Amino acid sequence: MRKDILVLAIILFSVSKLIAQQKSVLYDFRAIPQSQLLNPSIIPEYKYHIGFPALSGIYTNVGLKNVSIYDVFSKNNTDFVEKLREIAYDLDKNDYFEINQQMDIINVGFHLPKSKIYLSAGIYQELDVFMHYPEDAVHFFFEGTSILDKRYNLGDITVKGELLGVLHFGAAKKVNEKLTLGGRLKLYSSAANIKLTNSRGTYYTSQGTDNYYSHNFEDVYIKLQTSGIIYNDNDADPTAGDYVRNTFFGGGLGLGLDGGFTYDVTDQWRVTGSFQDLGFVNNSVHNKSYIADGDFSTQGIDFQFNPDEPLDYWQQLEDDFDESIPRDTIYSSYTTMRPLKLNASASYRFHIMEKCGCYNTIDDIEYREEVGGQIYTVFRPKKPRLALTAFYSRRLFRNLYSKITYTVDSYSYTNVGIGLSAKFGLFQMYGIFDNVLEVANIYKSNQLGLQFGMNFIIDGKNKDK
Amino acid sequence: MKKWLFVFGMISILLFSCTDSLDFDQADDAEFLTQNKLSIVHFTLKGIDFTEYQDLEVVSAKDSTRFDVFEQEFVQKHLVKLDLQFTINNRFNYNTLVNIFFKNDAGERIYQVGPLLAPSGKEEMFIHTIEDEGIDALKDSREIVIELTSQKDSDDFTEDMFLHFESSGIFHLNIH
Repeated sequence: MRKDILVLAIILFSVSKLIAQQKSVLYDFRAIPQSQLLNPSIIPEYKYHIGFPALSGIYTNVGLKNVSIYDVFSKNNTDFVEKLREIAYDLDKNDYFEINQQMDIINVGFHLPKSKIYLSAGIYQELDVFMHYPEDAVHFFFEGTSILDKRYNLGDITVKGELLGVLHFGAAKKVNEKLTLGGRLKLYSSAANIKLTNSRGTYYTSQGTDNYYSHNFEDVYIKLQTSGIIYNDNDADPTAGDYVRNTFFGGGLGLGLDGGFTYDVTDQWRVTGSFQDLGFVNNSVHNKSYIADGDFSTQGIDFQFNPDEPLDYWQQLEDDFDESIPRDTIYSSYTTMRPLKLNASASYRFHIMEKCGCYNTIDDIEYREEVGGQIYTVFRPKKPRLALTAFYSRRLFRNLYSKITYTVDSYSYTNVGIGLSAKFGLFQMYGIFDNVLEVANIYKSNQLGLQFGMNFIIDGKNKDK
Repeated sequence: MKKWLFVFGMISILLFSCTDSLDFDQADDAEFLTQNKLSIVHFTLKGIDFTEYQDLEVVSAKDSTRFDVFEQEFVQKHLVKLDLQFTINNRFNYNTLVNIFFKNDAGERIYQVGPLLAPSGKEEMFIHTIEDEGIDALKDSREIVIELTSQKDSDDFTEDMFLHFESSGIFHLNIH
């Protein structure tokens, strides 16, 4: 393993257990049009919105657990390799690295005239990478084959990554005075995909019977699937242009669905729920997958001292290995499921801010403040990830909305997020920042999530509400 | 105006933060020292195969194998030291000298270990460390040859006698 890859891997793998894709601040932040991507049942107050091309929603989330970049790279007298070794042995196979990046290319929406339906559509690009910390592989790097009878689990290695474009069409409809339902149809275009899951197998060095050591591979099954990443030898290497082109419906295609609801239990109590990315992608561009399956054991080369029949021992060893653990390369397409996300919230709104100075219907009442709780889960390899959020939102000024969240998961109790949405005429901009308590020094932070964007929002009395 | 100032102030806080001093160059000088144990060659010569040679005072045998480990780019770049270990259990009635030669692509002997003396009726262990110029020579090798030269020690021979040879290497790698 190259040293730089190992260093980067260990740092990235000292990961916050649950940070990516939560978007806890954005969820149900109705002043921001992009919140509809988290719950398609949202019907906004405004009549139209048009996202600023390529700048309406830029989102990145990366996390570090237990140790920060500062801990590794701070100037002190501790040897760098020893610091890294300590981190490497502090992490375990349940830790993971997760990065999610999204960029809205186009995002538009409008109220359908004379109806209670809000339609939206757009295109966005997404990068989603998930990888469990390969504990045994990293330990093997540090230890080599020097420790007898220590078993290194090949099944630790789990990778899922994809780069894709998403074309979506959504609709939200107010079914009755209390209930709003929404759905979003998604068409995926995969530019790149990598999948290494459900591997198994063990390597260990043991005391030999005929030689010093026996080197053993047991019950090995590894299947690495790639699409759009490894090209054939006679093809040119992929360029950035290839990835851009395949992101926008030149790559493997798939279908997905989002759904959600908003239910006003009373005029002040509200319950919401949604799911995103119930779908699949058929990865079919420049596919190359590798499979290794079998068992192998060797104690080195066994000389026969037979000059009448000289043997090519090394070739024999290679042939034995190939026969015991055959490796195949497969070029066929394969299907992957998108990571399903679930959101739910319950909230209480208060502090009436009258819109017209009178009450005609409940819809004329707008509340200035809201408190509540949210729950989020994403289904990843091995087990789902969970986050619980408490939030407070407030309309600060006429066109300035804010939301502050406090999120708890298995490994962090100090994630405070904040979001602001401001509107200046037709122009709206927003910024969302996770982990504001670590703003003073982001390199000491265990997690960083940032989202910002700009939209054009056209208000207007929506007589059809 | 108040709204503008508030928004600008919040965004400034969000986007700009000070950082303590860091030194990312530490990774450039990092060196990872690892050890890897690897069995190399083993064999057992049995007395039953030596019955017809018992009239000879001196007996020799030789065998060889291609050995591509040193050709690997990773080994070429990172191998800094090699500890070779040998165990010879000589239960023949012959004292045996063992030589291990490393040959390059052209068939030239570029490194030698030995002779290792394995007296009749005894088990001996040997350790041979290779580093510096020896490692450089080893990195050019592609073949291992083992030569045995045995001199009769006594006429007491039985077919259940044997000579067992084991070898391994501890490869010291400096990954930088």
